[in-house]
Parts: sequence; structure tokens; C-alpha cells
Amino acid sequence: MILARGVTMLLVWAILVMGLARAYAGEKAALTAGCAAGLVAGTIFGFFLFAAVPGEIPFFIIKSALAAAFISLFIVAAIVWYRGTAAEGDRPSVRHAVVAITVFLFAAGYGLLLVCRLPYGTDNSQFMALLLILLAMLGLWMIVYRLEPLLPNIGMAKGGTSLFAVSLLLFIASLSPRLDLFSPLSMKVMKLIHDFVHQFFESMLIPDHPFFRTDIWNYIGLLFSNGVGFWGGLAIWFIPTTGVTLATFREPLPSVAHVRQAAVRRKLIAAQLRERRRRLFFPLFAGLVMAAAAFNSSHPSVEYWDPKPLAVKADSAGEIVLPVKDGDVDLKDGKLHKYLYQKGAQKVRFFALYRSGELTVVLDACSICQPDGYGQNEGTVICYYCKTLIPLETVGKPGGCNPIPVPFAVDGSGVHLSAEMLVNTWVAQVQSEKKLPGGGK
Amino acid sequence: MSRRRWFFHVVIRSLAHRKGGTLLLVTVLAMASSLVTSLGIVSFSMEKKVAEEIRRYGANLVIVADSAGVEVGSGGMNFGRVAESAYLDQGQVQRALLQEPAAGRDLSFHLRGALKLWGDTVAVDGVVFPQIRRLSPWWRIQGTWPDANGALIGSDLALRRSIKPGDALSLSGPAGGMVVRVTGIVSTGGEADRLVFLDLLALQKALGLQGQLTAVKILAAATGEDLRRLAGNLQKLLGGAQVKEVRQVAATSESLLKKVQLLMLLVAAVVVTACGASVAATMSSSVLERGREIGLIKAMGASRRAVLLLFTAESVLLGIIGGVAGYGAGYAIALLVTKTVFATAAEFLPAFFPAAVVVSCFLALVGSTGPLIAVYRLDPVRSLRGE
Amino acid sequence: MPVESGTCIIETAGLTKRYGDICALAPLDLQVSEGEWLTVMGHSGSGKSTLLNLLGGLDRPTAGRLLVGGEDLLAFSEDHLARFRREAVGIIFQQHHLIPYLTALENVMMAQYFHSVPDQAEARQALERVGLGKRLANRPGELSGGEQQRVCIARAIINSPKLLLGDELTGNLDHKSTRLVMELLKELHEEEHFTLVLVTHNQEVAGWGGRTLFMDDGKLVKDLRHERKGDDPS
Repeated sequence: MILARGVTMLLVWAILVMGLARAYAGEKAALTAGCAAGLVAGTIFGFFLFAAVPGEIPFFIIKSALAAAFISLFIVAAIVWYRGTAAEGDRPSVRHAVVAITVFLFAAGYGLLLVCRLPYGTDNSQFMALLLILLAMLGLWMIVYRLEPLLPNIGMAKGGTSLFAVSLLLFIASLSPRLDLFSPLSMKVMKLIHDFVHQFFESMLIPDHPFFRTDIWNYIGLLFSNGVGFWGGLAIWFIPTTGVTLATFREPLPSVAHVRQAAVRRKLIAAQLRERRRRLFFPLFAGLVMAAAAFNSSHPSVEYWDPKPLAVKADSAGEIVLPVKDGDVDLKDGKLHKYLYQKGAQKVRFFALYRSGELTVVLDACSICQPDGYGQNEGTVICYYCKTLIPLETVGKPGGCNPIPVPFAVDGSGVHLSAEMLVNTWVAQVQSEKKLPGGGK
Repeated sequence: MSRRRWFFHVVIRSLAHRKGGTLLLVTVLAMASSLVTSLGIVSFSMEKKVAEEIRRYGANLVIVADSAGVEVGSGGMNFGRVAESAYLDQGQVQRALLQEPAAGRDLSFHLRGALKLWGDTVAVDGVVFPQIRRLSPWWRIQGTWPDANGALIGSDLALRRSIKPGDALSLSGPAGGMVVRVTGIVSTGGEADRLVFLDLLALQKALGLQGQLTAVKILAAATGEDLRRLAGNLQKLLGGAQVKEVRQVAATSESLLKKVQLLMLLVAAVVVTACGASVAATMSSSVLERGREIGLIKAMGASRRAVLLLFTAESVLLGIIGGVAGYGAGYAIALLVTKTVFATAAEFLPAFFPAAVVVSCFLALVGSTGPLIAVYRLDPVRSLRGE
Repeated sequence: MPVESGTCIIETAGLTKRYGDICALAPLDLQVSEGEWLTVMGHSGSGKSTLLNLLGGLDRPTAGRLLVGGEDLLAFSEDHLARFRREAVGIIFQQHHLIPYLTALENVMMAQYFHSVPDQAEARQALERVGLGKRLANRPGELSGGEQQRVCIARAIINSPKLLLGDELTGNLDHKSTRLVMELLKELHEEEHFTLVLVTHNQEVAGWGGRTLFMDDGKLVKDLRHERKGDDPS
């Protein structure tokens, strides 16, 4: 597990360095120095951050930085788009300092993410980090000074460097649900559409609107489906890549009018076309990386603790009793325990969890998402539907995407719940596919 | 003219030049992909319909009269009905249910029949409204649930006859007539959309079938083995009736569906193979014919890759045209088949469009693999000499 | 004026081509200077077409050395050879091979496409230059033999090759068309300074060049330098 993570990280580093080496082929010294310094600085800053600030805050800071990088891609794409169509000026020659600072930033970002990917808190994380950095340095030197001449000669598109580097950073982030940007993005998009449609149709007094047939609801329902957020998020996700790719594609070619002989002129044009097509490689590659990141985010490889729900029955008084200790099962082991209660066709999933020194019982659903349930991982539970991470301490508190709490009592024989109350709470509070906003009234 | 545009220009010119061959290939490819599309759409929409009907079937047990014959298939999709109507005795059923408390209270009585509405026959279902309301909580009612003097009308029927909540319907049966007021329109997406729901007693009177039922639907709390035991017990108590688990009903239509699908798959495989072979034959002869042209192109300095690209593009273009045509034809065939054979409309499944195009392109490419290798290897000197 | 610069464009040593047991070309040593107009004469089967195919990079020799423009064709890979064909040589065939589904203009543009990028204006100019300005949009089937051959010439010179090869290019033409084509070639030869190698069995055609090789049974029989016809307009 740790080994696989390390190898993935080193692989990403290798790709990053190869791309940067292609982008700044003539600036080997600045490139190497910037990369090395950035990597070390990023890692040290990462350790400092985790040591100085407790809880989820470091993740929040890093995630914000990533978001800022992602947003800056839009600016890059806009500039490239605008400049690309303008007449071809001389490309400003890149200075050493600029190269060094740019690669420093990318490498520092990588270093920060590297720290996040380490099993922080265990004793050997510093050692691991050191080992990875040493390997990364070795790789850096190998690639820049040995491998570089062997790499195919692909030009870098304008804006392609930052696109490429940031997409790789986003890819690393997508490997860990705490840093992932794509899921929150698609969630935001969905909320926005949700609110908009809700407001809009609410004001039109649907469902009893005279002009709308019931069928219309099926179409309006589409706007609330899981797909909208996903596809909308995907569209935004790919805007920078698409922008840079298209800008490269429509980049005007240098003039060849001064060449007298037609065949030679044509050959020049063909060579330039080939060259421009090659420049598309990095933006397209970045697009591929972004797609991989989006895929990772919707198929998290993290193993969640998600036991099969245990079927429970109510006794004659309509009470469900969960013994605290029952054979292998120990409710107080800090893991979530899922249960299923069925009355007729109505199924109710709920789980019990021991955290912060006490037991809590909640439904396996929240009141804002589809009831896809929760899984547990490293001090949090995750809502499978919206991929929101909920710290264990707040499980049992109502609101947002927190699992819906239910009243219960604990005594010596175990946890006591009312079956009727469970069913009522589920029916009243959990979203279902049939329950469209407005339509359920 | 850009290289890309020129490339497509040449490909299209070449295809347009050989009108007969192109048409033949497109027809063959379209045939294959239309077959795959139509079979896919038919089997997919049937599967979806069956699944939907089963899902919408809230009850898990159903009691029908012994000789009534089970409708094969369910709801809107009838494969056929075997015997004439027969009836259950309501009193007998109620006594049996009292002896078997595990059946629970969630059940509904049904009497299916036909009444005349303004001169036309409409299918009606006599029910006890509170029962069916409890059993089918997913029904979407526009209006309100009726009392014993009211009626619910299915959304399809309402649309066709332009009946609105509040309208009075004058219905007449063999034993008498009635006037009921429609209080709501029900839409379920299933069979209920084409029915008028009346109060059971009123319908029994109108049809002259006092104390008779066609079916009882039960939603028992039991599942699996318990449900089977319950069904067996009820069966013993009800001599002249059949007690079926809904799963069984579903299994009948599902197994029939599976067989039909297998048959379709076989036919599709045979046709696709045959089409592939004929594509290969046509393509080879076309390449043979064009040997001199290929030699010329090579002599002009085209790399082998460029020539291959040109010919692959021709195949792919043929494949795409064939696929598009095939999807259209296939959808039409599917509509026809589902309408005539299964008496239901085919689903509109745009997902089969890429499938049709992929099948067609795949066939075109596989069929032209051999010829393409020949093109790649072709020696310009020999082919120019006309060997 | 014959352009005779000192550099060799074609240089062969012991060039041999065998098809199985048949020796199509006996070891041949040949030097052709840049800008020369060379005619190769002989009966059919004398190996002259084989020589042309070797020079044009269409075929590979069995043995020997073959330098064209200083480059050793034997060392070329298949793709490199294709590049040589599209960039360094232009070939005019006996049966004026044209692509049947493309117009005259498009046939010329096809050569541009394989070479680099198609350029319609340039292709039109080339056709106007060979006197086909009014037949641009006609398919080969709608053109006469002489016109088709002129399209072939336009196509062969469109990429400014160093070497132009013609294989019996007047074989299917009547006397008048032959004369027209030859005059056109002469004009182009003077303007474009390419090296021209024509294979023919027509004595009259040979007269247009400044040097004639006579071949028989794959062997070089005679290498003759002579006065060029057309220098004195008749």
C-alpha cells in the first residue's frame, strides 16, 4: 500500500520533470536548482504545517492552494486564447530566474502533496519523506542530464507548462479524498443548478401548473439527477485544457511568403504544421491526466470500512435492541456497525458508532443526498453520494450531509431503538428518487 | 486547402467515383448494423418493460381463479392469454385469509371487466380504494382519491378521452349502469394508465357478478421461504384458485424473454458473420481493381502509412455511413416488431446509435484487413506494369 | 542552352538488377551531370525501363552502387525511399497514369499533398504553364492523350525535383502531340534546370536530348553525345 503510493508519487514526479525538461530544454541548471529547492521547501513546509496546525486545517489550506492553482489555469487559458489569435510576435526568451521560480512553485506543490500522501503521524514518515526526496533528486538529475536528449522532440504549447504541471498536481490530489477537487466542484455545480431550478419552478407554482403535464416532471427531474452535477463539473474541469488545446490548434503559423520557390515553401509549411501538431501533445496529455483525476475522484481507490448491514427485527413492543457485545461484534470497537430494519417494503438502514467516548446511532443517509450510505476511513466517514468527509466527532449531530441522528437509549443490555420512530424518521427525512422538490407535496 | 480537408476530399471523391461498390458496401454494413440495432432495441425495451412491470407490482402474492389462465408477461406486455375469464369467490377468499394471518392486512381485491362508456368499451377494474391506496403508495394521483361513489381514471385514457377530474362518467354493463364522478387521474407508467378504477361493489353490481373477483393482490411481510410456505398454505385453503408468487409470474416472462434473446443473438451472429465475409470479398476485389492507382500513388512518393491511412479512412467512412443508416433502419424495424409482435412501443434508445456505428465500422475494418495488408505490401513497379 | 555543370547527379557503379535468373540489367557504370538531358534507347526488354525504375527509387538494385544527388539509394529504408520519390524525382509514365476520380487540377494537387501541403493556386499555375489552363476541372477520361501527358508533366515538376524521369512518354501519342510535348519539355528544362532522363525507342525523341545511351539485353552498347534538336527551330 505504502509502496504503491511511493511508486505512484515517484512516477508522477518523473513525468513532471520530463515535461518541464521539455518545456525549458535550454535552462538545465535553473530547472534542476528550482526543482530541487522547490521539492525540499515544499516538503519542509508540509511537515511544518501539519505539526503547527491541528486537525483538518492543513488539508483545507492545501486544498485551497490547489483550487487557486486550478482557477489560475483559467486565466492562463484565457491569456493563451487571446494571445494565440493575435499576430505572431517574438516569443520572449525565458530568463533563468523566471524558469527557476516557476519550477520552484510546481515542485513545492508536489512536495506539499507528497507530505499529504505520507502516512503522517507514524514515526517513520520523516524517514519515508527523506527517502522519497532522495530518489526524486536522483530521478531529477537522471532525467535532466541523461535522459533528456533521448526524449522525443516535442515543443511546448503556450500555457502548456502550467497546464501540464497543475494537472499532475490535481491528479495526485484526486488520489486522496481529502484533497480531491473534482467532487466538490461537481457538488457545487449540482447545488447551483438545484437551487436555481428550485427557485425558478417554485415561483411558477408547479406542480399544479395548468400548462405543464405530468411528463414534464420527468424532464425537470433530470436536472436533479446525479448526472447533472457530474457532467457540469466535468465541463468546467476541462475548460482550461480545452482552451489551451484549441488556442494551440488555431495558433497562426509564421509567414513563409519570403521563400521564393513554391515546393520549398510548401515543405516549410508542412514542417510547421507538423511542429504545431506536436505542440498539441502536452495540452492533450494534460487533458488525459485531468480525465484520470476525475475518474479517480469518482472511483476512489480508498478502501472504506463498509460492513454488510445486519438485519434486525423489532420485538413485539416495536423495540429494536442492539447488544453492545454479541459474540464477535463489539459496538465499542470504534468502527461503524450497519443494520437493516425492514417493515413491509420499507427498508431502513442505520448504523451505530462509538466515538469520542460514547455511542451514537444515526441513519445511513443524510437529508440532502440520495441515500447511498456512508463508509468509514481514517477518522472520518464519507457520504458515498457527495463524497463529503464527515469527521467522526460530528457524527450524531444533525445538519448538512451529516447522517441523520435518531433518538436511542443505552443501558446494560444494549442500545434501544423504536422501530416505528426509525421508519418515520427515514420516510420523513431521507431523499428518495420519487421525491422531487415541489412534486412531493 | 488544408491537408486534412484535402484528405477527406480525396476519400469522398474516391467513394463517389465507385458508386456501385460503395452502395453495395454501405448496404451490407447498414444491414448488419440495423439488425444488431433492432435486435438490441427490441430485447432491451422488452427487458426494461418486464423489469418495470415487476417492480411496479407492489404485491408479492397474487390469487387468481384456477381456470382464469395466467397472463404470460405482465401489464402492458401481453404475450397472450390462455383461457376464458373465471372468477374467485370473494367470501371463500376472505375466509381463507382470516385463517392465514401471515398474509397480513395489505391486500387488494380486483374485479376486471369491460363496461361501455359513451358507446365504446373500456377496461375497468373494481377495487376497494383504501386497499389499493395502501398497496400502491407510488401511484401519482392528480386530484384526490375517490370514495365509493367516485372513480379514478388512468392517465392515458384520460388524455385520449379528454376526461378531467370532476367529470361525470356514465358507464353501462350487462346488469346495469352507473354514473360516477372522476376525482383523480392516476399515472403509474404501467397498465393502470389505461384503466378506469371503480368501487368493487358497484362494478360487481353492474357486471352482475356479486361476490366475484378476478384477482387478489397481497403484499405479505414474508419473503423467500416464508413466502413460499404462505403461498402453499393459501393454495390448500383455496381449491378453485391459483396462488402465485409474483416472482413466479415474473420468472415465466423472464425465461421466455431469455429464450427470445438467445435466438436473437444467434441470428445476429450469423448475419454479422455473413456480412463481414461479404464486406471482405467486396473490399478485396476493389483493391485488386485499384492496384494500378495504388501503385501510382506509391510511385508519386506516398509513404506506405499515407496510403494505408487513405484506404482505412475509406473503410471507416463507409462504416460510419452504414452505421448511421443502419441505426435508422434498425430503429424502424424495432418499432415495427415491438408493435406487431409484442403490442408495445419500443423504447427510444440513443445509446444504440454509437453501438450501431461501432458495429458497422468494426465490420468494415475487419473486412478490409486483408485488402489493407495487400495495399501496404503492393509493389509500385509491378502494379504500374499492370500485373 | 545546355546546362552542363560539373557535379554528377547520377552515379552508378556495377549497377545490376536480376529478376530470378533473368538479368534485366547487367553491371552498368554511368555518370550523369546535373542539368543534362539524357535519352536511353533500346528495344523492349533491353533493360531501359529497369534502369529508370532504379533511378526513380521505385525498385532496388540487386547489386552495385547507385548515388542520386550524392545519396546512396541502397541505404534507404522503404519510407526514406518514398520520401526520395516525392521530393527528389518526378516520373512521367508511358500510359499517362492519372487518378481517374480526380480532376486534372486535383491530380496535380495530390502530388503536392504527398510532398507537403496541397496548394491550389500553385497547381493551377503549373497547369496553365503546360497549356491546360482551360481544362483544370476535367477528369482524365475527358482529356486527350496529349493533354493527359501534359497533366502528368505538370504533376511531375510540381515539387521542383532535381531529376525528371520519362518512360516512353510519347509512346501513345501521334506525331503532332509528341512534338508539342517535347517542345514543352524543352522549355521547362531550360527554365527549371532539372536533369532529364527519357526512355524511348523513338529516334525522333532521342534527337531532342544532348546525349543518348543505347542499350541492348541489359547492357550499355553505346554512349553518344550529339547536337540537340529544337535548338534550330524547324
